[in-house]
Amino acid sequence: MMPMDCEQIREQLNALVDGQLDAALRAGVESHLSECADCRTARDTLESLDGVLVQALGAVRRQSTAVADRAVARWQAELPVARPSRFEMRDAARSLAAAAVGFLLAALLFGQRPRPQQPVIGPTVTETPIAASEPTKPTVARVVLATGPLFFKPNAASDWETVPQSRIANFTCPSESGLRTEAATLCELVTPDGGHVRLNEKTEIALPSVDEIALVGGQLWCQSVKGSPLRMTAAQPAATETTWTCATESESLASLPPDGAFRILAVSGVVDVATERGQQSLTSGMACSPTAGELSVRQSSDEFLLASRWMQPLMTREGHNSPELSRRVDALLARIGRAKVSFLFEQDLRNLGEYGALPLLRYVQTAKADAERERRQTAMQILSDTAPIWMVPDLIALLEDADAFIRSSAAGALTRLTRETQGLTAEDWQSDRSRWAAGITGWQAWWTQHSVSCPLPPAGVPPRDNATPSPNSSPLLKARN
Amino acid sequence: MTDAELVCLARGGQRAATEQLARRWSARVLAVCCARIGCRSAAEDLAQETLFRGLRGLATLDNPDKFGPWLRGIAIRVCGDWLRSRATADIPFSRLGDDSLDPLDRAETPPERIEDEDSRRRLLDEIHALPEDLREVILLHYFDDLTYDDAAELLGVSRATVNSRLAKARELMARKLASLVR
Repeated sequence: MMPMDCEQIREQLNALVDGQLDAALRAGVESHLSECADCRTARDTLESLDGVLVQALGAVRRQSTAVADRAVARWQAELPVARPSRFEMRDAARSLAAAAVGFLLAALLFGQRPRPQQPVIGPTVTETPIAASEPTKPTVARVVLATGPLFFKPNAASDWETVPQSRIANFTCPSESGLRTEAATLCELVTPDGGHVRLNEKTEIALPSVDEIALVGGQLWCQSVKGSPLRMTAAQPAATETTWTCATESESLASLPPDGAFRILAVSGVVDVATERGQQSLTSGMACSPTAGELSVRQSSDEFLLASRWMQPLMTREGHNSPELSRRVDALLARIGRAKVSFLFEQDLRNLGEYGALPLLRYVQTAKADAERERRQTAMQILSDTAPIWMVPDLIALLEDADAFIRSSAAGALTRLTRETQGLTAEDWQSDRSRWAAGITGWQAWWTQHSVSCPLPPAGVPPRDNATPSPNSSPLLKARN
Repeated sequence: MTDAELVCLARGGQRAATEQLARRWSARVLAVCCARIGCRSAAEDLAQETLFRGLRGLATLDNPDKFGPWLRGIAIRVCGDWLRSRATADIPFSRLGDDSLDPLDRAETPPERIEDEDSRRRLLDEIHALPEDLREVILLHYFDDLTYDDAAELLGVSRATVNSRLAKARELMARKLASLVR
């Protein structure tokens, strides 16, 4: 090998420091360095900088493993087959929690993973008739619905009995009674003055007297109505009793796990928490942990979204037009891309299926500002996977959207629903109008031919007319106005 | 096992292969995202989104040998969309230190070489100030010890270009950070 001059050597120094030189070249460079002080200084400077960069940037590799794990978890959650069972999903959620400790602490303490809505199913224990409630005892709450078996006891000394399926709806809980849900059962009750209480699975409440519901264990949500504060209590073992009161038109979540700290979260309005040793007024987003009678308070904007995941199946019972459902979809969408647990929020939106699709569609149809572009695309991306068949005319209208991503996603959703492509690819829909204009005509013709065989929107969603869809004629577009 | 072999196994339904692909590429994807948007916290989200889209779209990959460049293309699109729609796109790289989950947190930085927070911020500022092509090759190299050949294949350039970009990036940084290096 010809001896190299200093300029040639300098060109090889980076590769030398990085160990990227072959043996012959390295020998030549090192031979030169042994004789040239200037090149040695250059090499030393380079090694020093390399050391600084290795120390400053090399640690990223450990963080990137967590990124990979989260991506894999999202991918696995979307697999159409071999979907993890309820219990595997819960384990997965717990693993993910470890990756985002701060935010998911709330999920672990307050909420369980949302599950698909289930019909009322048969009891798991022998059904025994329940004696009619004693007429002299006033009603504390009435069961509105349950997604599985419910257990009831008339007073503290009684044994638990199964509530017969036929009596679950409108089952009244008198004072001094108790109510319990088992695994996979959610339950909703109303109080005589209109307050609402929801119980997560594996939750027990006592109803000692009118105007008082006591959380014995598990998780519950409660909401007061105007003019009627709702008073709740909880007593941890070997601890003082905590009382929290939802002031007029307020909501709160509470969690009393068997092996964790009792927590209360104000969802909206004002929630007054009191123990023997102090009291606090919580406003929306504030969480409180009574420990040994002392109240510690903190604020977390994402905590409610995480803590209320278990309620999603109950939110769908009001149908597609539920305001509560729309609020949750909007809140989840707003946090995707901004929260560290965006993947969980996106999963929640997907879990809502077609119940989440209508609020997403309305957002895509109405959000036009540039600042909303990314969020709109996120909504459309999810909608592409969840839109039901009755949204076909609205999807056809979106094929003419100014945003290429919206067009191609709408086309993807149409293909998923109909197996038709009109001869165009996703790339075509992202190109100039000349590439996809014929597709619009094709889809409109398809609609003309098939609209009579497509299902109508479900109850609560304004019916569409039979006109060929266009951005101006879609009944859902009109409905949003 | 090569990327192409893992892609084929993953397409065949082997989850372990899919997971291995994600872990093999996570640091590189994070480097691509950091090179483009700087902000570490958002970059992690975008890297996750890139990997997720890549795993979900494996069936659409025409040439499994080109998995890396294909995934980088997804990352560039994801970051591009983010930049176009975010008012926060101009968060300087040096503000990474404000994030408690920052992998470049000072706790990771041995005090004998980077003595204080100011020095660390200067280092990050200089990385952020590099032209994007130089920044990307520096981050790829230090996030994942990429060889020149692997970096060249990923970036679609020659090995010599990788060498020259690394040399140029280091030269610029050494000049600005004279007090940090000998």
